[in-house]
Parts: sequence; structure tokens; C-alpha cells
Amino acid sequence: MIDQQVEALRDAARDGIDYDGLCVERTADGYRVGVDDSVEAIDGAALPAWVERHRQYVDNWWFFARVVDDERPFVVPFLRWLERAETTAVPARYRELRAGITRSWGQLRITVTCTDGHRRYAIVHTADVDRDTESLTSYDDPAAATDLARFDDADRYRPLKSAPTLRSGWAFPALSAAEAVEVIDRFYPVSIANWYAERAGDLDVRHFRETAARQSGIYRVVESIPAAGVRAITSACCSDEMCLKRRRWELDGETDLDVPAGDGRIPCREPCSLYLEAARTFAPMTNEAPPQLPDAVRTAIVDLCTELDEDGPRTNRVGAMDEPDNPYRIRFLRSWIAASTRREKGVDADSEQPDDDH
Amino acid sequence: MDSIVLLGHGSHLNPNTSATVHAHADRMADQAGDVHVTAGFWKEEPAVADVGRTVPPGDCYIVPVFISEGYFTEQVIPRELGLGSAWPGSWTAVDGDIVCADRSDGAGTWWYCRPVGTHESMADVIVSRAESVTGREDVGSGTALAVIGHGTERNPRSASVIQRHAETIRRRDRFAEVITLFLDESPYVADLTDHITVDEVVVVPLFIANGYHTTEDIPASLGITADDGTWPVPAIADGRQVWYAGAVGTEPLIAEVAATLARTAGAAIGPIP
Repeated sequence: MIDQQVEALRDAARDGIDYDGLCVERTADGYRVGVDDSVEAIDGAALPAWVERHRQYVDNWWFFARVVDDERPFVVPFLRWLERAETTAVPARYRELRAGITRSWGQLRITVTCTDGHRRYAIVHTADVDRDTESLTSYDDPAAATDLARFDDADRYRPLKSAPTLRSGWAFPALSAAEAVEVIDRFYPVSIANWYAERAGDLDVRHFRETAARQSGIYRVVESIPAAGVRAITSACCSDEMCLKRRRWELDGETDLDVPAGDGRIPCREPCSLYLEAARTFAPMTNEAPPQLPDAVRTAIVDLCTELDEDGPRTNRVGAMDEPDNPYRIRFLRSWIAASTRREKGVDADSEQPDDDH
Repeated sequence: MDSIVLLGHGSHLNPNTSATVHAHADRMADQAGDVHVTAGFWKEEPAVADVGRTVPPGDCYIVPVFISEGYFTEQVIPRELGLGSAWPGSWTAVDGDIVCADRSDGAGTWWYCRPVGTHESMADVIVSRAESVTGREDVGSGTALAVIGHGTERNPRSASVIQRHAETIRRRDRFAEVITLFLDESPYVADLTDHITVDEVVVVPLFIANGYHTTEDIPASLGITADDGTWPVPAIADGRQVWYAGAVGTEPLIAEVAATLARTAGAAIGPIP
């Protein structure tokens, strides 16, 4: 491998290399080389020996600039993030990589190790971190992640991949970088691309009203939902108990929803399909003011919904929003009834005019 | 770098809908070399609106895994790709039935293919399904073939694609009779035995994935559902032997149909075994 690295280094030196402390530049009679600002001039024949003395720096450049061969702009920044390359200098990082550097992504724990210049990525469920790998079912084909993501531990279908219901008990113990990116993207589709876009200040957020306006067919009805209804639906669908993404969209470009956005690392750039399904199903209820109920009745309903919610789904069809025991429906009812309490107490002033934002 | 995206409907309720599309995409990826193959969905993740950002810059071949042209292929998918819902709108026609447009992310070109279900080789897929369900490579003589479609008064193309494939198979003179039946328009599935004269029939529904229609609705209409909700293969209905095949979209050959569509549009993908 060192021959390949020297060759690649010679090739790239024509344009100059400045990567994580490694500097290599072609000069008229050899190379100007250096790590961490200690620059020296060497002739061409001395390059292999110099590379041998600075293996980690060269290997680090070689891996990200040559081994990772992916034109998608988010891949290298993500792999660097996994091993904290932006904040940990090469020697310290390579020391840590021997034991492994671990990061979380949704319900995944990803550990990068590097021994003998070979990076390996191990992925397990956050709940399985302390379990003996032998007791987990091992996979090496990234496609298996799509199957693992399909059902939860109770074999319920997961229509939302970012729901905090990823099944446990499996491991991808030794993936290449490309395979790791694929596995993560199968568990959490588009999460890396949107994380990267957000980091670059380039995430194209679509607020609720914008997304609602482009719907057609059975989803057109979501356009008519008043602000208070959007708030209740958002609180039912988008909190961390239901989805691990962090909501970046609001009611529109000017009006915040005033609902917790979630703490997740993965940004949510627009209302998803499951959200729109909830919105279209609950829309008729939101077009009427919440019922005027005695305080005691209201409290009882809110308490009941909270209890049902805490018990977890009683149905195998979490995507069936129209069924009475649907978890999203229970959470929506709780938010909607609770909103009527806030409205009467004047806490939620703008929802007194449910149509004011049309 | 070239990429191929299979776009399916997806479902909030039925795990098979996207699983079928993923299986075809994975089958294609194994033969795709440097071509990046992925799947996207209307009702699941990755959403159609997001798939562009998961594929590399360059030519991206989009193959809708739908049975016929209509609302999804001409309104929803183009709109979600960021190209507006007017059809053909900003798409430019190229050879055959392929249209192309600049990617809305500015990273290359979308090459938008016809839906899988409309490709002429679907006739072969239907016949192959008839062979595999009966376990007879020469099935045909003395046997009727019923091709079932959804059909809808709102979109005549939903039924015409079924009729076209049935006509292709009919012209081969392989089956004693080839008929078409529909869920939402006449002739109806429930009237199967009124439309055949022989004692044995293979029933192949032209659906992408197994779900309510193919596992509940159609078997019940055919009168072959057992008490436990399954059906025997073959079953007896109205004195005829009925080989019910389930959704044709799960047939592995569908991956080759999708690859053919992408290849015709310019994608460098080899045959899918």
C-alpha cells in the first residue's frame, strides 16, 4: 500500500496537498514536505522514506482523498465527523482510532477503528452497546439494514424510519466506509445528505404552508388547517417520542409553531408523508373550535390520552390514523383538547382566530 | 456518475409495497457496476422529493415502479422532483417514450422513463408468473389466462395497459383463452367463470406488490379464500381449477424490465439475471 500512497502523493503534489497538517508540494528539484508546520525540502528519491516516517498523516490523506471514492458531497464530511477529524489532530486521532471512536446517529452507535491503516466501521443499536457482540445477529450485507428497519421489536410495521422504534439485537461488526454510509442511509434515509446540507447552511427548509400548498388529491385538504390545528398535529407527530428528527420547518417563513422541535441530530426539512396523512385525517376536527368542556372532563380526557400514549401502541397499524387506538390520533386528541384549555386561559392567544393565517 | 432511482408508491400500512421495490433495486445494484441504484417513495422514506440529494451528480435515470401512466407518474412524481405538476411541462421528449429535464438541484439531468408496468416485456413477466405458479413450463394448452387490473373510470390507461399485455399474449396462441378482468370496472373479477369456457385458469393480477387488493379483495371476489384468509393453489371455484398467482410485481424479472427501461434511456447497466 505504501507504494500506492507514494505514487498518489507524487501525483497530487503537483497541485499541492494541504490536508489535516500534511503538506506536500512539488518543487523544481524535489518536494517541500511537512507535517504540522515543520517544513523541509527533500529530493524525489527521499519521498518513500519520508512517507514511512509520517505514515499516519499520509494514510489519513490517502483514506479521505483516495480510498473514499464517492462523488456525493456529504460522504467525506460525514466520515470525518464520525471520527472527529475536524477537532482531533492526526496523531491523537489515530491513537483513539486504535480503540475506536464512537458516535450516535438516531438509534445507531457507530464505532470507527483503524489498525494497520484499515478503517472498519461497526454499527449496533444504542440499546445493544453493552451487549456481547456474540449475542447479536451479525450482518455484513448493507441491504439487510432495510429489512431490519421495517419492523419494530414487536414486529409492528414502521412506516416512519425516524421513529424511535428501531428493533435491536443485530450488529454490522465490520463494514467498509462505503458500506457504513449505505447502512446508515438505509436505516435513516437521506439523513446524512440533510445533515450535511444543514451544516453547510444550505438546507432547503419547506414550511408547513408551502408543503400544504403543493398537495393534490386526498391531501389537498391539509391546506385548510388553521394554525392551532397545525400546532396540535405537530405536537402529536414530531416530538422526540414519535420521531428522532429535529424539526426545522415552522408554520410558514414568518410564524413559528411554538412546539418543541426535538433534540435529534438529523434535521427534518419539511412535513413528511406520515405527517400529511395525520394532517389530512385530523383536518376535519381542526376546522372546528375544540369542544367547550368542563375542566374536569377535559383533564380526564387529557389524562386518559397521556396514559394510552405512555402504554405504547396497542395496534399493529401505527400508520392507520383513522383507527380509534392509533397512537398519533391519541396524541393529537390530547394536544387538541389541551389547546382548548390554553385558549380559554388566554395562553394561546392567536389560536382564538383559527383562520387568521389564511 | 450515473444513477438509477426506482420510484414506488410505498405505504403507511403495508410493508410489502416498498419491500418489493427495494428487492428489485438491490437486484439491479448487484449488476450495476459503477451505476448507483436506489429507491424512493411517495409515502415512505426516502421521499421522492429527497432522492435527488442521495444520488451522485450526473445522469439520473428514474424508473417509476407503477403499473400505468396517470396521476402519480404525470403529476405527483414530477411535482415532487421539483419540476411542477404540469405534464409534460418542463420535460423534453427524447427518443421513444423517454423525457428528460435538468435536475432541480442543478447537478445533472433527470431521464424519466415510462412506468415498469407499461413495458411490452411485461407480457413475458405475466407468462413467467403463470409458469411458476403452476410449476409447468409449458402451461397454456387447455388453460385460460386471466390478467387482472385495478381499472378505474377516472383513468382509462389503467385498464388499457392490461388489455395491451393480454392482447400480446393472446396473439401468441399459447393459452386456450386470455381474458382481462378488473376490480373497479367491468368485466369484474367476481365474474371470472362467466368469461372462460375451459376448466382450468391461471389468474395473474398486474399489481406491483401484495397488499389488500391481491391478498384479500381479489381472492374473496374469486371465491377461493379459505377460513384462515389464505387460498389453496390451485383452488376450486365454480367447478374450475384456479391457479391464483398473487401480484406479478414481485416477480424477479421486474428488475430486468426496470433495467431495460433505464438502459434504453442511456444507463450503463447490464442484464439482470
